[in-house]
Amino acid sequence: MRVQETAVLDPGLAWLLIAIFTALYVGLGVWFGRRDKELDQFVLAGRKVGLAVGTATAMATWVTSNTTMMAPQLAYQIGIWGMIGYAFGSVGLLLFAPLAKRIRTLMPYGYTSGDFVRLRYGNLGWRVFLAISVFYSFGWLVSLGMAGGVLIHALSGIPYWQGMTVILAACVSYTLIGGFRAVIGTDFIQSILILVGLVVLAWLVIGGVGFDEIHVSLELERPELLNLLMPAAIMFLFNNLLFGVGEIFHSNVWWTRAYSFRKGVGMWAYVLAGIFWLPIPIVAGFVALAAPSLGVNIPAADMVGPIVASELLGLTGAIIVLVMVFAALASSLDSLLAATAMLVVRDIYHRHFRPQSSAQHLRTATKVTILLLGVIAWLLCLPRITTLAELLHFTGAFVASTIWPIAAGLYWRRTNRLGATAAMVLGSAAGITAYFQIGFYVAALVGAAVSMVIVLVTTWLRPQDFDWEQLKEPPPDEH
Amino acid sequence: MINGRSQKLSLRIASLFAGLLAFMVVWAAPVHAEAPAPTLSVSNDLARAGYYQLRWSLDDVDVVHYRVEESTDADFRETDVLYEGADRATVISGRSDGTFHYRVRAELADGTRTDWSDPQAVQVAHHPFGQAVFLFILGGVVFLATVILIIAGTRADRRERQRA
Repeated sequence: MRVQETAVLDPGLAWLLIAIFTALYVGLGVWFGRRDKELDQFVLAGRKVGLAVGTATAMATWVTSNTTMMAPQLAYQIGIWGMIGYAFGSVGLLLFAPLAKRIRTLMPYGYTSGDFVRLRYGNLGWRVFLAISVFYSFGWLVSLGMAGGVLIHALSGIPYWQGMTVILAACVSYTLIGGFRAVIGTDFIQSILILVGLVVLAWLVIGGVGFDEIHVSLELERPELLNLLMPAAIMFLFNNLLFGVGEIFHSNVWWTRAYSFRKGVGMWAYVLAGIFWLPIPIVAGFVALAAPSLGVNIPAADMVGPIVASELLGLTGAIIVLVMVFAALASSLDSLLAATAMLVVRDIYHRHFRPQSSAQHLRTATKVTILLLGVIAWLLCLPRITTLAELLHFTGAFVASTIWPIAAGLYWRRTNRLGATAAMVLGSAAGITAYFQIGFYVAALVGAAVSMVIVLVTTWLRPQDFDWEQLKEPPPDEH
Repeated sequence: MINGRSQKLSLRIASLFAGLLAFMVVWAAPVHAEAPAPTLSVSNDLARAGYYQLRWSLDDVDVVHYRVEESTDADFRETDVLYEGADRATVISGRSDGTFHYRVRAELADGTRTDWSDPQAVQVAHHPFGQAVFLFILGGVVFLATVILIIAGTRADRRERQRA
């Protein structure tokens, strides 16, 4: 259903920009992936990624459409704390820094986060984890595809499904062609586009409207957005922080990076990425707070960022937003496609159905899976069932329940397999209950709390004595 | 006399035409005035975080713009114009507790207006503050415990490697 009748960008110009950047990313995919013939090179860039590229890929992947479009949405819906709470997402990167170092040490030949859970907690815990991880990956993939369609529709009036289709197709193409090296190579270019775009945008918005005018308008028309004691906003703060921690701790997107970084790089790459990422949601969210003072109509909450930027800055703003958010979208979509394909192939296809497969066969299976994931995500994106924030936070209950099983499993020998499995199942159930009973802004918080209590109690009651050497599983044969 | 009769006949014919024309104008004009009122819906009747979305539409008619009005009383005695334009939805946020009533009408391409839609009401009732503070503290405890686990684990790992 169309809700937006006014758009700043001419559809022809929007198509031209999309075509130029699609060609650029696909071209880079071909260039970066031209020498990757073996599995380790295709899926982990030969495990030799350095600090600069490592930092850029971690930051660009975490700057998603959710950062550039959902931070404004949350600022517009729940005010100042929505914006600041979203910035707490950087804590996930900072806390994962020491974990990345430990993962690299404990699992020098690891491929996926599923490898760790299988070896640490056994088959039952591994399958529960896979269900959570694949479900989350689809939630994130769909939210990214939806964001592409919403963005292009808000800026140019091009129908949602057309924009969504083109962006998904572009990302699937270059991930398919270039593999993981293309993903991190394009991430480097995309992180530069995102940072430059945001700095220009913030400078133009603050110069164009001014703090006083924004404050007066909000106080008159939407007083609760400035209320630091707004109940939903207070609950949202730690919920978003724990959601971000859960996303990063469990997702194969971040584990593949931990495996692919050169030894000694992971810790500093994640610390620097967290520091660089922190101000981005604040700048993006601030843009949304200017909406009431501009008197601009916001038909759907997830359209507020692009609409305000284009209303305030006209054609220039619309072009900056399109290029910047396309870069943010692409940098996350490609990473997610590559990492999820790897999880599906390695943990489901290889481990469950074809244990004798050679590395060469798995490389082909990874390519086929990337394509299939793109098609399934496209089908799920078509109906546009909900807003971005609500869709993504639904997955929060599940991912936050993995925080303690992962962190305790990496550091404590005594955490046992049954306790970890129960923590994931019961934490998810509690989080989903809270999602429906209270709201999307508490699902991750409740899921993480219940999961933590279960891990602590079961570790204390039935301690295990795990041998870390069991995690050093050799890689599959190359032929 | 003939002239007089002829004048009267002409006058009657002219009156007949004028009457017919007036009938046609009156008959033809209400086609759009009789167009149904737009339909209005709200995303949720109860808003616990002070935000919600209004959507409206009027199909098969050429609409120039919509006018959405808001009132704090159900009779719309005092109203504020919330939105005027061609969009078909709006998001309202940052509202304090209270009940808000909405209605919408369309202005059509021929200059006529439709009737007001059926009104919709949204009750804004924020979550209890005590519940919010409890969940805030709970979140803080989980976060701090996670940080302590990682710091303690990293130190223990370092000690272990130094011993090795």
